[in-house]
Amino acid sequence: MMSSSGSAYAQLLLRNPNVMIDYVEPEDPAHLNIDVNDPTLDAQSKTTLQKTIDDYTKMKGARDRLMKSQLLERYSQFLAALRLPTTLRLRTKKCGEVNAFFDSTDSSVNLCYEYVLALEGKAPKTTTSDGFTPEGTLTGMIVSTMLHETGHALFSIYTVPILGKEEDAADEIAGFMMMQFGQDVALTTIKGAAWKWAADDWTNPVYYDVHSSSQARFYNFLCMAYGGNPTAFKPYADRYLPAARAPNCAYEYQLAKIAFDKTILPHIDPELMKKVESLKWLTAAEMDPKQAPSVPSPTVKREQ
Amino acid sequence: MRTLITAMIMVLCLGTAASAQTLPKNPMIDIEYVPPKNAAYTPYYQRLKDLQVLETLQEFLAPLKLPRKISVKVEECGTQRLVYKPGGTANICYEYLDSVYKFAPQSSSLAMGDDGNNITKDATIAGAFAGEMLNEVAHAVFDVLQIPVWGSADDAADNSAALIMLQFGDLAAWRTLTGTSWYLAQKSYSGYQDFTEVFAPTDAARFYNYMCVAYAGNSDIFSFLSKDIPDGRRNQCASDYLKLVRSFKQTIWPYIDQTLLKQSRAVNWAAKLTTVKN
Repeated sequence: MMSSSGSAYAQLLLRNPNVMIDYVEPEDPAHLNIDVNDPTLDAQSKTTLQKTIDDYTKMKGARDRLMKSQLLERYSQFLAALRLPTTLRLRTKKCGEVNAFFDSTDSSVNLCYEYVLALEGKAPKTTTSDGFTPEGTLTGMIVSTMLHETGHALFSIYTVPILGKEEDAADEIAGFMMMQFGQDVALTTIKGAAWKWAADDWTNPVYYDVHSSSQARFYNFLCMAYGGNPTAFKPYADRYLPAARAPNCAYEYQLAKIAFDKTILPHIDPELMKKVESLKWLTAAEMDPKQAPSVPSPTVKREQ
Repeated sequence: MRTLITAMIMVLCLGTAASAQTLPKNPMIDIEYVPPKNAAYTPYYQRLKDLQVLETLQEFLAPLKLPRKISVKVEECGTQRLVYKPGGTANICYEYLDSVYKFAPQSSSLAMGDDGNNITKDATIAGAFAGEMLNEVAHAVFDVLQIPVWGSADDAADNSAALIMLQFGDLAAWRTLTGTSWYLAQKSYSGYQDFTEVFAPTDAARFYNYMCVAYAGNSDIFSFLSKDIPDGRRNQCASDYLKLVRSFKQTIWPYIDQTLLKQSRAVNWAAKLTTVKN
């Protein structure tokens, strides 16, 4: 997704009538009608206003880049085959926190501009020796985030049984879906997800949290990938997966497949799915983090 | 080691003296006590066999309807826990039992909670071992019944085990859940004889998972855990627990014989969890 040839996607070949998209505009401080150069403005007010303007500029920049890439339009095509009994809202917005989350009150998947900015800060500045490109890695990080939150949405909408931890389950369904659309998509998204969790600080993990540690999530995504396509991901498995984990990845992938087949597949239109699979919905071109302003990477708050 | 074992051994004391009620053994559960090569584990092997621990498990699992057989083995594994391999065999390792002994409370009885409840050395050992058996059997059940498992399979097995522990009366719940939680807490942070300050990755996360299910599943006896589970997690325990109950009903429940379950609930399983002192 998100190649520069986005215009082709404007035609929206596939569309799910129950998926709505919205790039919510951040509030423009111009509405406040205060001039930062107003000589009567005290220093503190001026600082606050300038911070608000800077903040808005960053959020608007993130929104513009997402819109230009047609993130939501193209992601919604991927969801075209889902038989949804309710409206699923895909939303980008300013949240006031670095986050992405599913909100069950209005069945919405929310990607915060603050989170996008954080991911842009996390993306590699140049292509790494492992072949992590700035553009592909950012795309993979964003799509993996969307898939994780969509996983929560599907669990909620279809009342899917979850015997383990739901946050791990959302990672699993995201990882499993990444593997269903060909090797290019798998490589881009899995590498993005792996980079996202590898770039976190692995010291002092919080074991009581509903989320697994960043380290565990890194290994979980790699394991799902290696289990689903051992050939393509062997170099990464050889380098990063512990020997004690790697042999079990095929079984872990198989467990996810059983779970997907039993709980999600009945809600998918098979004919539409064939069309979705035929789409080249994710290319290696992607978003360019270099287009983003150089801002310090904020501490990433865990997703909901 | 042998002194420790003979002084206060353990686990799932079998049936006849402890409780008159019996259930038929589940004919779809095969069991095996595999003699260890390491002589240090021989006392465990002998004691488990003498106590007919696996036969008790066969009774406990009587209500479970299985389309094909599950094999439950206690054996020397070369590690404390084996990763489950598809095929329907649940392996419980002498090494795990050895570790449970090592981390058991040093005094014979400690006060825990606000209601004068105690945690005893022998009940902790029995409870933790019962928890491990339920976890390993859950893996095999998932496999044999092709249960959809979202979330880590080991967490799913732990959650299922914890939920089952809550179903057979307060005393059985207390012994199994405090036993398991105690063990995981001590293993996570050796040196602290407490539930707090756990650090080792896998066991610490498992510890909090068990505590969360216990806290939400039986607030009468586990309300004291409120101080041990950080706010960020504790606030979600109730909704996570309810989702777990719903998920269990969607997946495992259809394979449970309700008549046998009713009989099973009448059995005093807590009494079978007492320690035999030689």
